[in-house]
Amino acid sequence: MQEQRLDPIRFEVLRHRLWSIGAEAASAIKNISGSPIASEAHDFNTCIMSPTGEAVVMGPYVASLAIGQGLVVKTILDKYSDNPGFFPGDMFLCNDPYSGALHQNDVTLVAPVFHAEKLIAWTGATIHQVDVGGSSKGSQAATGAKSIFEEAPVIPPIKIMEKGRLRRDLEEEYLIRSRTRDLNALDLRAKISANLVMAERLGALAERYGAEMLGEVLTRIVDVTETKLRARLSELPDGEWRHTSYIDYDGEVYAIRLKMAKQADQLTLDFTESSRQAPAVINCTYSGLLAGVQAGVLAYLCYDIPMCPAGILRPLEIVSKKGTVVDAAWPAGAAKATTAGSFVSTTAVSACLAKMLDASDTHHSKLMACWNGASGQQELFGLDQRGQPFGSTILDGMAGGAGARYDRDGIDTGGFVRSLGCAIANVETYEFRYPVLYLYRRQEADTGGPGKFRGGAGVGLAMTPHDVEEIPTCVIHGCGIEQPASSGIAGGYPGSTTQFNIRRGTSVQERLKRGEVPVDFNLMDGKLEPKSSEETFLRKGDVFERVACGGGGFGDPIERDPQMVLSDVQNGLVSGRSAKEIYGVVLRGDLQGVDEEGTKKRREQIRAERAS
Amino acid sequence: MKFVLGVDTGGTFTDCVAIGEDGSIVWDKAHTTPQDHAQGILAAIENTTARLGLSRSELLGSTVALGIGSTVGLNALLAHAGAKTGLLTTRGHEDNIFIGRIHQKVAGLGEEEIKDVVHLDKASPLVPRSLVKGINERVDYKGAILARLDLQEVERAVAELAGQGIESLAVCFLWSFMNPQHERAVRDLVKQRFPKLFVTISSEVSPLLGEYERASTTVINAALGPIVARFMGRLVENLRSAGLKNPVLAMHSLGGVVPCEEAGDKAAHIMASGPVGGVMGAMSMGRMLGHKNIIITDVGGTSFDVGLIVEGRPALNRQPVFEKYTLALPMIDVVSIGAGGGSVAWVDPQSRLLQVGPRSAGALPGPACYGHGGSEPTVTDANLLLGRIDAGTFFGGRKKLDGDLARKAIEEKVAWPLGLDLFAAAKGILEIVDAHMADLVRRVTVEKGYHPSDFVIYAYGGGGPLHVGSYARDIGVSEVVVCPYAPVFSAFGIAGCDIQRQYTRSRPITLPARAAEFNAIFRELEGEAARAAVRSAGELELERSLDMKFRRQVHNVRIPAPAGDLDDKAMEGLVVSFEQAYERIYGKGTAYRKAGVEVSNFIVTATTKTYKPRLKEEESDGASPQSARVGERRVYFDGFIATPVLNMERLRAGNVIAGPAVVESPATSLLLHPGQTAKVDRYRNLLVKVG
Repeated sequence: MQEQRLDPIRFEVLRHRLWSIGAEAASAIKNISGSPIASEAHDFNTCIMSPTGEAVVMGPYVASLAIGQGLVVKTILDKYSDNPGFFPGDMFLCNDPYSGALHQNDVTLVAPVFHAEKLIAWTGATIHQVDVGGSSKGSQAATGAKSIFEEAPVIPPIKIMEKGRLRRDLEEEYLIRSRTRDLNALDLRAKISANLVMAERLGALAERYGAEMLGEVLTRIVDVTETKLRARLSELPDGEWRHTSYIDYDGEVYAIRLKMAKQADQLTLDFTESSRQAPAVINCTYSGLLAGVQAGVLAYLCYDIPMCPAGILRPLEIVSKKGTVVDAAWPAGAAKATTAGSFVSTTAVSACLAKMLDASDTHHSKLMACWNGASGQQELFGLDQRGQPFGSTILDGMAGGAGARYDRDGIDTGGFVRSLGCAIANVETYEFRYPVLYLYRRQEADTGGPGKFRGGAGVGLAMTPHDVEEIPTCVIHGCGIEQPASSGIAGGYPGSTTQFNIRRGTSVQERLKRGEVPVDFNLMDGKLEPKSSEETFLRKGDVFERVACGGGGFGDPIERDPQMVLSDVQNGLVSGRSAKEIYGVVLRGDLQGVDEEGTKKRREQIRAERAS
Repeated sequence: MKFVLGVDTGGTFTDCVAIGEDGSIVWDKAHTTPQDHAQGILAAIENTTARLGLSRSELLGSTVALGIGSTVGLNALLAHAGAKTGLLTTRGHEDNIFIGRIHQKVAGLGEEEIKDVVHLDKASPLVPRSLVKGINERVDYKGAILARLDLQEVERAVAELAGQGIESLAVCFLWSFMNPQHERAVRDLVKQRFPKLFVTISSEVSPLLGEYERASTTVINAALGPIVARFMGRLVENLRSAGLKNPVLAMHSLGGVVPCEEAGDKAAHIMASGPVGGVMGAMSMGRMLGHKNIIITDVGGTSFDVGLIVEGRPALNRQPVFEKYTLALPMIDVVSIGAGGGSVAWVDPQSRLLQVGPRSAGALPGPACYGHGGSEPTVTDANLLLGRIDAGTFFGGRKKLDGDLARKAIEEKVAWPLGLDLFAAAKGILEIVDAHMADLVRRVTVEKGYHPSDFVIYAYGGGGPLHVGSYARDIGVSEVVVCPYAPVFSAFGIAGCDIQRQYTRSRPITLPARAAEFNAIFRELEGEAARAAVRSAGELELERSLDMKFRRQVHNVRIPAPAGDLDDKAMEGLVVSFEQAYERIYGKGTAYRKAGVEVSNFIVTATTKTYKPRLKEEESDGASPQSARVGERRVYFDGFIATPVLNMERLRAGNVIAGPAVVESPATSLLLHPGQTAKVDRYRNLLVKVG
């Protein structure tokens, strides 16, 4: 070990190296994991943490998962330091939302890293698992759960890897609960591999530069991040902003009320006025709240700031009340936290930050209306077309619209702001694996929030069972169905709601045989059943439709350039009716041009209606 | 004397290498002519001819084969200057290339760009939505036709697109790689009824599962096809009238060449061939030197590129990204970061930390020392200040550098703000950029399942030999090779390429499966290969491989498959070699056979060897490099040391050089750190022991 000084040059060299290590470990996961959730949707992450569990260097994927890993380490340090203790070669598995995981599906594996018998860091890896057991297939919907006891089993940190050996008894204990045990087993190996990669590389760095210097680098990364975020906050106007976002679930509406105050280089996010917790499913625990806040702050303020969770959190004061929907108290459930409580917290934070940016002369151009502010999900279980059992999350709901910007439309089918690297699978991949046929998958008209700049359009799709008589289990659970969740800004309208519908017993198969591909769900025959959250089935001839919510708009829609409205109509992103009613744009009959005179009149009319 | 020629069109220079049948190598460059690349190519050939003391028609008349690496297609793509293209697709899936699996907005971007969320956008469309037509037809995952294609509907749709002025048509239907009947029917109809339209069907250009990547590849091929075909046609005409009798071969992304008549139809493959030449150069040199595992590194003005040869084969990237489009087009993998001579060093105002890149000063204004008005310090400025390059001999003396400007930039922008000594600041810039390079090399190697210490590094490009002594040492590589023709390494690689075509079938099959099924697919592919090879002289070599994965996984591992009919035992052997390959990449204990094993793709690679002269070998001329010594200057390592300067062209086989030393050639210089040594081998390569 060499004695060396941490100068700015060595610091930059080591900072970059740590980042590179995290990325290496993440690609190990991406390659090994069996589930499309990790390898395609990229719903996973790695993190390098300080000996005290500060999340310092995260991998290039879902930011919120890294924060959770830090909290899991803190739980271990707090509760298990003396019994069972932790030693070189140990790894702890955890999916308990009250111990740091965001919800039960986010199974986390953390490992202490030792050098010369001294703890020098922790590493972690988390992958969202398709199923971790419980009454509801896919574990997240937990239909009818009255508390966390009816949800998927909770595993507080357990030492599943002991001195370099995977404990077979505990592995079995973990896997046996799951309906997708093979996938979970592969993913567990992926996480082990990621932690081993990081441990080996951190050990080599400690050997070369000394453990102390490595520790100093971790501390400095947090400090630098904090300094930069504080500087950013100082550039922005002081003030107070409020936003309420909602979770509609099981006939109830829960409010997430945020009061955000900015003073000098400090940001206070006060959620105390939020609704009382639900019995189960949609709440998030404190870890989900931190993750939700961080995701918003990263996207809106940190465009040139290192992605270091511990540093980002330092200038933030997060105030919440135990027992609320964003800070649940045991034994409230949080099975769906990442697409409910935590997700909608990000929406509230995004809306307040957009308002703060809107009030700034210098940072105005960085604002975005809300990206798709709620998420719907769908899981299918049954026997596939080859007679094999299957279980899967159809991730297309991630393809919501992005928020409109100060000078541009939001990105159509932009995805989640919480996980920018995510992808949806190809239709062919789904059809190969599962017994479904996609009638269409497209950017759905009138989903993007109208505005001078339009919110991005959400995806719309229709699928029908194929080569099986039925898919016995189709779990649907969404928020943002009763009310639009992606709010607009500066006069922009919100994006559309999430939608789930089923038409029972249609004639799509016969129509295909006639050489026709049916693409208009509204004009299909069969009985229409609108859905929100339930466990249902799909039989041959049934058509399932889902629409992901669009992004919020920016500015007044009647100020939108009529040529842009025309091209939206031509491209199927805005209907002729909305063009006229909302944007006040009248198009020529052939849809090849704008009726300038008619548009002028219609817009005047809208102004007059508003004034009265 | 017979010759083989390799020509590579770069952004600034077009390089030409002529290999004579006696094994001699002669090369030269000419300026690239962006208006018409053919002019630059002819000029480069002309310059090389002059060095050989031949006339152009003499050289071309005795040329056996001429390989071209062309960026015409890529340039058209980057400039959004492809042919006006329409797309026919399955009705209901018209938005496929716009949705881009939602990942399109970040595809190919680095961490810094992704973080800047407000500036993310999808790709700028290659085909506007108004030129995409959905056709009533549907095939399922088995290849069964659910909704039959109506050719009258197709004809109406194409007529409408033609009416809007398209020059090219892309066709991508769902599951067409399982059953290409509909796509072929459309192609035949278009050829018959719209003979002027260029047409690309997805089942031909990229018959792989995944409609987004397949459609992207098809659309790019269609948009570039007419442009590449026209260019190649013109070029061949020019070369013929200049005396060339033998074939012109176009370099493609898998490291082979195809007769240039096929270039238009394979425009996407040709487009992605840019950085491949260097890898092929390393591969042929590696064969001669007995190197099977090679890391190829190229340091240019703006980027640092890394390629890999493992067990004598180039590593592939299965889904390369171009302009945010992810393509289903396996190509030789070359990973790039923004780190090169022009990378700008800057101090972050809030954290007061020194950063280098990813922004580059580019060619204009360029590094401060260029004197073109650039005031920001770059890596080249740091190299100059530390004596690692010389103001007078940089680029063979063709580019004069101003040391005072370099000093001023580093002083004002780095040393003073950080309170560092001037030279410590300059050295810091180099330490950081070298570390970034080392991190990339390591990541690229480790991600493929290998350790850098099992590799030799080949360094080329203007800055490769200058920085390699530092990044090689950092990652534990002990041997480095610098070729005397490192500056034209790509053209050298192209000259040595064989004619190669690849035939792929995407056929997802879960194992165990019947051997007969496998045999039938391989035989079908080999039949296709044999038919296409009729046009090329020489013996056809066929090689089989399979893409395999654990059931439900996404990422394939490619393994070689035995020739001839497979039996049950051979089938079991496939699973074993898959598991071995898998564990090598992802670590012992990661294979999980219980998940089941699946085959995704069947691949047959068909190679026809081209004529290759044996390179000239030189007898040892003794260890002393004294006759190559041209001077001495002060170079900064941990302080300034008097360092001998040698001329690379005057070195002879057997010479041994001990560091510190600088070995200069007109386009690059090799820096040997104290303790490092280089030996000149029989091909005049410098074999560097990094230590």
